[in-house]
Amino acid sequence: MSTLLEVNDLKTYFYTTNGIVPSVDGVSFSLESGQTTALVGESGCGKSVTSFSIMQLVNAPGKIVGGEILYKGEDLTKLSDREMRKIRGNEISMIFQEPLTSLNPILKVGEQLDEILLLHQTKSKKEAKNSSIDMLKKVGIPRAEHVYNMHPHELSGGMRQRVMIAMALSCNPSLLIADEPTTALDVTIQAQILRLMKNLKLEFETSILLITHDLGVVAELADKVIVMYAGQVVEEADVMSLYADPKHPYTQGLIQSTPKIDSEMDVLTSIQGNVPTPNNKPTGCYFHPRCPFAMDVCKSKMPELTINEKTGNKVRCWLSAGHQEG
Amino acid sequence: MKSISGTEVAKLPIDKNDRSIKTKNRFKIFLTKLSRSKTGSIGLLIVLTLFVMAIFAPWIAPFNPGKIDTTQMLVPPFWSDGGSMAHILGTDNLGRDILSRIIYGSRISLVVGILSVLVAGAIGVVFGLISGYYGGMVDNIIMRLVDAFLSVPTILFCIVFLTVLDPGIPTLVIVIGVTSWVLYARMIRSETLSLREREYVKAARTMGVSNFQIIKRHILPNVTSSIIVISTLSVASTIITESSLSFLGLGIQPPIVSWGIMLSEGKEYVATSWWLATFPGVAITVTVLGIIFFGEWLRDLLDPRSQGTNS
Repeated sequence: MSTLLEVNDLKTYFYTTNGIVPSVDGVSFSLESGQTTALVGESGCGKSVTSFSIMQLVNAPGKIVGGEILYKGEDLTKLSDREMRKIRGNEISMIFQEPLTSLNPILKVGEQLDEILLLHQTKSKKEAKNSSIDMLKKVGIPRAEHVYNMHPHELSGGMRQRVMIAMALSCNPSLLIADEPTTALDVTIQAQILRLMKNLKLEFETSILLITHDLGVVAELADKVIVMYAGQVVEEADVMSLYADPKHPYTQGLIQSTPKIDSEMDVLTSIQGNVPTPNNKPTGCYFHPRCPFAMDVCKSKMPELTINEKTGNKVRCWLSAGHQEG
Repeated sequence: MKSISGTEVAKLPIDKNDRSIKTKNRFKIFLTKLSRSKTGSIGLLIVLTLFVMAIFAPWIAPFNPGKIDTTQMLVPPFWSDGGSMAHILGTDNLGRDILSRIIYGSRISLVVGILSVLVAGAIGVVFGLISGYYGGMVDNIIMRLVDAFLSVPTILFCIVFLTVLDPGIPTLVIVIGVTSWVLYARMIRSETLSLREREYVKAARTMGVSNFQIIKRHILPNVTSSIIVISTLSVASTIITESSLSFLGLGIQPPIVSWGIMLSEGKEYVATSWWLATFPGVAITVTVLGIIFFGEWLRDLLDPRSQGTNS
């Protein structure tokens, strides 16, 4: 298995009038080709900023201030906008959580699909149309020729998300970034879209970077999970060991707060407190004010992301580093 | 109520591929909506009359607008004592037929009105799109320029320019256009600001679409309805500006007929022969009102919030 994308010590800061906000603060991870990696965490922990950093689409006042993003060995942070545009949509593409607004309301579905193909793949409009209709069929849209001529408002949310996926995959990218692809959909449609993504991943051999806060979706789709907290990676593990034996108290908390169908609960457990605002982070481990196992060392020193030699999983916690209270 | 009835909605999605059915229904909806708005119908009627008048002026006008007839000076309108059906709205101090002059004057009002709006629209839309889409420094510079323009009344600007430049229709069009683009720039900028944050614009960017293409395909088409509405409404204000400038002797120059010139020439006779200044004045008022009625109805029609079930 080869490494498709490698993010090393990525730092994306926002220069606001209230000071510098380090949204992504030294994040490192790698994506293997053909695998699905999930990026998990609460709102505001830097998941989406990480994905936009990969796309080089961080808007002002945000800026990538450090680190490198190696895609097939090439550092994306060093590319010009023109070079980057050739990668976007063609090599790396993205789908969003709001299928209802992700399509231009005044252009036909077909016109929007063709646009991407004409941009990256072909010069001929006829060819573009044929591949667009093909793509629509592949994402399971009935009467694709018909839908090709429809406007987005004539389609349901699930259908629109399918169209978005068709758009994102139309140039056969090596990496698909899915930013909460199912959050806005109801559960039955969610299941359909997840199954679709699973099948397409196999068919197109696309790697997926799945950004979500829904651990159910993660279990369904991911091979590897990266847990982020306050702009940092706190745990990285394969999906099996993460669910069976979560190391970081934050991951444990996340898993415990997922409703389970086989246990009777009156009140859903939740992690106390909120994600610290990026410009007001606590000293030491960022998670210690919310951590049930916080020790003295946690309050003063930030633990390193350390790799477990046996499993290859990584965790950023003093508990796992073998620190004992006392 | 401007929404269409249930039965018409039910008729709509017969076959989406059949363009003729769709277009026919859209036209029907347009007419239905029009018939429900009294002001809209009146406005459209006035606008259409104006166009017919301007285009077919030589056939409609009973006299040559420049023809001087010293035997028929200051003839009152036909219903007054001494008036005749030959000169329905009377004649002026040189014996020229006022009705004919008003009909020919509509040409100037329309030509100047529409062309100036095109000039202003072109400048304003481009600046508005750039300002709203790119933001930051560019936006700041353009918006301060807009503020500077807004701090001086348009008419004053025009007067300054026109006293320096040679008067004439092209100069007038350019001067009015260049001084009134700010309205478009501000409006289009604010719409672009919200459009550029839309998911589909973000999606287009993640697909590698260039900024120019995004503006052209994803932003400009979404602001066209605003452009149409502002343009219609500013034709009205441009007509007033043109009349004012011509009235002051800075705009259209005789022998070309313009409503503003007629007003200006008639002002000395207001006490004795009221019809000289009154009829061009009425023509300006009715035209401007008609265009505004039509424009406001158009705004309601194109406003997505009042659009209801069809789009």
